[in-house]
Amino acid sequence: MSEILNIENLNKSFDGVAPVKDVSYAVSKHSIVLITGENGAGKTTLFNLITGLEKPTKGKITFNGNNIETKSALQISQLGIIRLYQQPRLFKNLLVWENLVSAAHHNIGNSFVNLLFKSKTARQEDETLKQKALDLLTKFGLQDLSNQTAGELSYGQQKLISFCMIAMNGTQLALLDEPFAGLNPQTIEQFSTMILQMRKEGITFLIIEHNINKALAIADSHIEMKDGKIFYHDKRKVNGN
Amino acid sequence: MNYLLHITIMLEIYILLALSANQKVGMSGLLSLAQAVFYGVGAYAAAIAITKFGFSYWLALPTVMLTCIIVALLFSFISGKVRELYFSLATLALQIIFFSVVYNWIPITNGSYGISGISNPEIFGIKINTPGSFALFGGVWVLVVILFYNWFLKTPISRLIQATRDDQIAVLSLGKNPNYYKRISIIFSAIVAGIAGTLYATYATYIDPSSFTLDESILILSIVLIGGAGRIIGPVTGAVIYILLPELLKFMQMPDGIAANMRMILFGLLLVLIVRFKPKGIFGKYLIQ
Repeated sequence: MSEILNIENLNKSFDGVAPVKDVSYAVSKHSIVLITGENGAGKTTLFNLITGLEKPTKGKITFNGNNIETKSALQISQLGIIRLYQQPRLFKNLLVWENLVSAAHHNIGNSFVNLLFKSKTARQEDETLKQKALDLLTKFGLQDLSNQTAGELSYGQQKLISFCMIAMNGTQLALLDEPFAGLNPQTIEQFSTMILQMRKEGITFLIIEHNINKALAIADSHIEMKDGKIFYHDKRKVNGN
Repeated sequence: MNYLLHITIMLEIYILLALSANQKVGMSGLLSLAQAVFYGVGAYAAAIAITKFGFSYWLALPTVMLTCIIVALLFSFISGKVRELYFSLATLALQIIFFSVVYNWIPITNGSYGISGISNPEIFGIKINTPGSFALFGGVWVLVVILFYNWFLKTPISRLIQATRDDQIAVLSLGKNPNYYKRISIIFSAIVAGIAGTLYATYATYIDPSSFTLDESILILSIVLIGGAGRIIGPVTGAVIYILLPELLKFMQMPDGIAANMRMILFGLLLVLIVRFKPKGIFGKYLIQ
């Protein structure tokens, strides 16, 4: 199975502290990788390095064969690496469907020049994206929320909607930071089902999660970090093989 | 009758200013203390183009828009990296710089003496120089800008401008550049304020720096705060309240000198009440922070 993300001898240090030390790991396409570890183990810094929010002191990160460790956070997200934060980050004054359409990877109406000179195409594409958003919500049983203002949703609903935004975005690699935190068991089940369904559709997942049992139930492999290093990894289960 | 028409023209100018401020504050969440700068840039660019270069109104207008775009672009590049309070401080600096420039660049702006002799607009050879025709002319501009916003607010780019207002880190993490959407917003806001400035300069036929001060910027912001940010109806309502409030005081048989002071006292009181009991404003969709 080909690799989507390859991390080689990744190091990060500042002010004499090294939150990530010599981390090397390859993530297979369409897999779900669970990352666990105590607070301060280096999990969040690893996510920051992959998403370009921090730059590594040493080491290499390749995504689909391209080096990304020097790219900006914006360039990395444009390549298809999207991060979902522990606290859902929705556009709280927009409707749910508007949130999803705003997340779309490409919409020609996002450019003012296109709006002026290709107004008909822009309108049609926007309508298509709206329909895609409604279909996606229906697929996950969230269609009743489509016309609600995102800020009025419950915490759990906000998390599910922010997850749907990944599907609208054409994401290839999704980094989920504690997706199950603060959710009730029923919503965790719903979230897990959504993750598995999206994996089938081609998205690869890296998940930081403290609810290990629930996350292990869907993960293909598991790595544990300690003091900035990979302390343990198990690749036996990669994609069910 | 002429007085009523004068009130109408001032109302139209303030509706345009409030709509321009709403683009920045309400749609983008950029708390600007420099809306009078773009109002002033519009007024001065029009006045200079008409009086010094002999441009007609219709030639001065694109010059105004271009000048506003250039100033807005320069400003958005400088302020693009700062957020929230720091953005407001940057706008405050812009306001101070602008006032100093128009006050002291005497060869161009005539300093505190201002620029007089600005000609009225003409349409197909008909001079718009009566209060009635100017009120109609201003009304057409208000209608054009409202129709523009009515269309623009439903476009994908406007949604992303609002998304950037709500959470720019989320916009960035979805692979979109929040600075681009902020820049677009600042440019549109500047153009609409520039149109209001051109309208004011060609109506009053005289401008000086005292019309484009920090006080004016705060007043425009207060109009949006009272009417409510994020929708078209909010800024329009705010402007109507600000302009019509002194007229209501006239019904109370108040002497003009006292009525002028009472207007600001009542407007201030209304602002305090709105902040306390209806923080989103009368018709607001978005809470200014």
